[in-house]
Amino acid sequence: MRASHQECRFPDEKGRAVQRKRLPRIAAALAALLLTAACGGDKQPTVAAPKGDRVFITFGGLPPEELKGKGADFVAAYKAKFGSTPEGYAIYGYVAAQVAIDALRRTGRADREALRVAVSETEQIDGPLGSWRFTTDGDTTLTTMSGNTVRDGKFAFVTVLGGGAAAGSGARAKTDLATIGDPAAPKTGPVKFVSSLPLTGSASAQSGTIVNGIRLALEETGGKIGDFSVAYESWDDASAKKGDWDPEVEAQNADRAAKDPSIHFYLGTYNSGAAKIAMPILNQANLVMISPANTYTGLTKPGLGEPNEPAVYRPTGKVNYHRVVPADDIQGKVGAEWMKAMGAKRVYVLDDRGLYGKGIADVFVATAEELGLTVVGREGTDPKAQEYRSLMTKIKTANPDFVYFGGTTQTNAGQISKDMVAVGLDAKLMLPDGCFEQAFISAAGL
Amino acid sequence: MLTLAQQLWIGLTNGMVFALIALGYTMVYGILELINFAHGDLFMLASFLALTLVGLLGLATASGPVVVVGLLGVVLACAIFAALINRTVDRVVYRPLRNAPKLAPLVSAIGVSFVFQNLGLFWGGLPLDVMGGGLAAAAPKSFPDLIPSTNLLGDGAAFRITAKDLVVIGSSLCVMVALWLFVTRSRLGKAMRATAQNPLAARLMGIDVDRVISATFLIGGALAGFAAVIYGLYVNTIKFQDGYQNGLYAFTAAVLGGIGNIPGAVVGGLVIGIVRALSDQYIGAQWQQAVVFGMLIALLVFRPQGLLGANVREKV
Amino acid sequence: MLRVEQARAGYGAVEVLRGISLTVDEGEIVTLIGANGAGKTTTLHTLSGLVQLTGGRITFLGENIAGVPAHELVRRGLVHAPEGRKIFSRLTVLENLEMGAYTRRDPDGIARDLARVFELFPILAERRRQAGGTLSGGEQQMLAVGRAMMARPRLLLLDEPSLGLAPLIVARIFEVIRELSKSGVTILLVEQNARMALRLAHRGYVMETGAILLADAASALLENETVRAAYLGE
Repeated sequence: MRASHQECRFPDEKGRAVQRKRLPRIAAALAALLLTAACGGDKQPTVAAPKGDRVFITFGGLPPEELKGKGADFVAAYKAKFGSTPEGYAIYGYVAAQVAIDALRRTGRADREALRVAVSETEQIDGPLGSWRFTTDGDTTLTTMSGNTVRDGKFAFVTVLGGGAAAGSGARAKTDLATIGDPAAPKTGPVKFVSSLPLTGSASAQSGTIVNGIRLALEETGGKIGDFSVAYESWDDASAKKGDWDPEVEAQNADRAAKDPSIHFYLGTYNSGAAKIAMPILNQANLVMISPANTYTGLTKPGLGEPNEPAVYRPTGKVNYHRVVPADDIQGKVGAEWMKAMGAKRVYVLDDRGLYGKGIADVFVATAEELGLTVVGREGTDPKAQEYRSLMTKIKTANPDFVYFGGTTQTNAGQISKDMVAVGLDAKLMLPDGCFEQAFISAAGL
Repeated sequence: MLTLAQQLWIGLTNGMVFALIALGYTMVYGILELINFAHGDLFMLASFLALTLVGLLGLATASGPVVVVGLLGVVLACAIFAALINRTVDRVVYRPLRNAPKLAPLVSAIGVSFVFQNLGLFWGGLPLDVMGGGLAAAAPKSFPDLIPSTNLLGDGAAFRITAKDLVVIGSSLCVMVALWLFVTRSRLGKAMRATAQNPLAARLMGIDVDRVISATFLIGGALAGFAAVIYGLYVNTIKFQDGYQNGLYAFTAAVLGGIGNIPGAVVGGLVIGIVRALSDQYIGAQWQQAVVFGMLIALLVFRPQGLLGANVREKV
Repeated sequence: MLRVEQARAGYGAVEVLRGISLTVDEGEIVTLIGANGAGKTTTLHTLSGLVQLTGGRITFLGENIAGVPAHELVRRGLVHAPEGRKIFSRLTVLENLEMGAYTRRDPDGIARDLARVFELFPILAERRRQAGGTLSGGEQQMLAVGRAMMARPRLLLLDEPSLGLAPLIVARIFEVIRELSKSGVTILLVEQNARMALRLAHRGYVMETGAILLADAASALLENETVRAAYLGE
């Protein structure tokens, strides 16, 4: 019994003794590990920081610094008013609002049908974006794009891409607007503009700059267009729940606008997916919709999207939707051309599986193959994934000299850029305009 | 073969982070049978604190030894921060509901999770340089690359081991061993296990169950705080939705290992990390979530108690 | 040592104890017998602070203990070994016993008590590294009693220690209870085996539907006609 008594001494003491001995040892090991880690590289711990000049971004139009004429005026006015350089999309918000203002001036009546026709016949000569008009499908005839890279934490313009005439860009006959719609429609009073853009969540920077662009255009009218007084409301189509645009909210916005007879212009959306929801609702209300940012091809162009597109967005058969940015078919194509011109041979294509990302990647792949680039892999990513080291390791074995990612800052382009470096994947990265914002540069740590 | 080994290595490293978060889920569940949905978001808040501190201390441009000392301080601060928040939430939100039906604290936890997410959104919008100058609150925030990710085996080597990987794996293992020693050797740790197995009997042994619960929230929170720093250092990006995604994987890890089971949470985390990596390599990146959750469903069908779980715990 | 006056308690709206009074004096073995559902277990739960007292008074060692939390009562020497043993199935036998001594800070005394438990139940010493859940029912009951002993109780509340056990083991358990009593532990025993309980105890109370029906010396209750008919099966 005595022996067992000895042996069964309460182990709590023993246990604590063990811990007392081990814990400092563990702490020491941890410290040593961190020390070796931090001093393991060269003196500078940030030695492996990704280099911006291996990242290439296409953008529909020219970056603010490259704009000339009225475009440069816009940039100056924007800086004066908001105290910061406009992001890439600001000018499209500005132009979208100008289109609406111009249509209201020409019509002189708050009539939805007359305004719709007036908008579709818009023609800007030497505007901020140059000279352009809408095609019969509501697309801009602009095809000028820019190729950019990142230098010193900022976008740097590299080259002009595209620029040829777009399909269906011939001049259009002008209608006598006085003969259209209800002649008794009000000629004075308030006219309301609304925008529906994701203000909450990760696209808020680009949305904010678009809203500023719209504000600037409206303020230049002095609050009066003809005899109309101008009111503007900026609506949010995102929810905190999603942290991004929310189909439910977009549907509510479109519905609210459709039912409010004082609203005559719906400026939006930012996301093409959101446009898909708003378009048929607004089409039935015959309310003009002008998007400063949608680039998904199928929204306007027959034969390039799903078989039922774009008819499915136009239940009345009329074209009420217009966009002032070049669509993805142009951007995907110029991206592939640029890549080829830079001497690339093998490209691995990723997309975020979203409407925008997949659409643009599809066009990219089609053009790349036509141009003789080898697409060594094609894959969808999880835009919410924490990191992509495994995927990048896999891509590394395919040995591409370029990775193309159809996606946006919100769908993790920054992380993809970082993880390429993290696994030692020595390829360049090309991205579409969804990443043409300062937030991408800061997310990617470039 | 080398690719397989590389993916296993990446999976292992990622799995460590899931395991650390999963521990917080499993410990609280073990004692309260509460799925603390706010746990992932607590982790996210701690990662924001970590980034803020890294920015304030200027660690991104500091020299090696300063970085090491600074990081140890950041780890400590984040662990304490998350521990205190976790305990406060328990005191203020969950404790008054201790005798309410199980659904009440569960729904409250979801509420707390939303509050945390919005705090994260607010935090991300602060006008700090590390937060992107407050321009885009919700945009992903870059966490400085404080630990080199150069290949220790040489630039051209086919297999890649970085100092960063070693820090993640090494420090996580240390914390896990310390936790294990704590729950198996210390008086409070044993009381924790006893309370988890039979709260009524634990009270009859003179264990102050409320104190044990508080300690559990403190420890779970501290682990989340530690994981947040490790995550920031490894992934180099944080965003306000990180709590949701990582929480989901960590919770899955806890269930996979047998919820309430501490070694189970670690095993579950590592399994998920590895399955994720292999799925990216051999199935396709877009199937990652489907594969992970498919595996969870399959496991729950054939082994509902999880990999290491004991049979259903005896009811009081 | 323990005095209960007109105690009322229950679960939610259901009142189980409808004003019971009893006393336990230092050094006594007192037993509480009665049919299933009479309120015996609830009485013990109320004494140990698991169930809230809604009326009446309970004093232990001269102090009112209504509202004192269960874990604090253990510190004061009121220890409850619950029905169904409630051992920690995934802790080892040794850890279970350590948990019994949770409130104590005297390593030497704890070590002595541990040796004593192993002396009384050698099987526990043999199995001390085994998880509690792997023990047989009888061994688990021994562990439950041993664990309660580790708290060094002044008053030990024992709930159905013989439930579901083989006669030989029951005999062993009762022997230990007697020894505990001899060593100075006061015992309040709830038992469905009324005959054994009354033979062991000094005094007994008979409960029925939440009230005390009879109170007398154990030997007298063994002879009582009502008790014999209702609880001793004669």
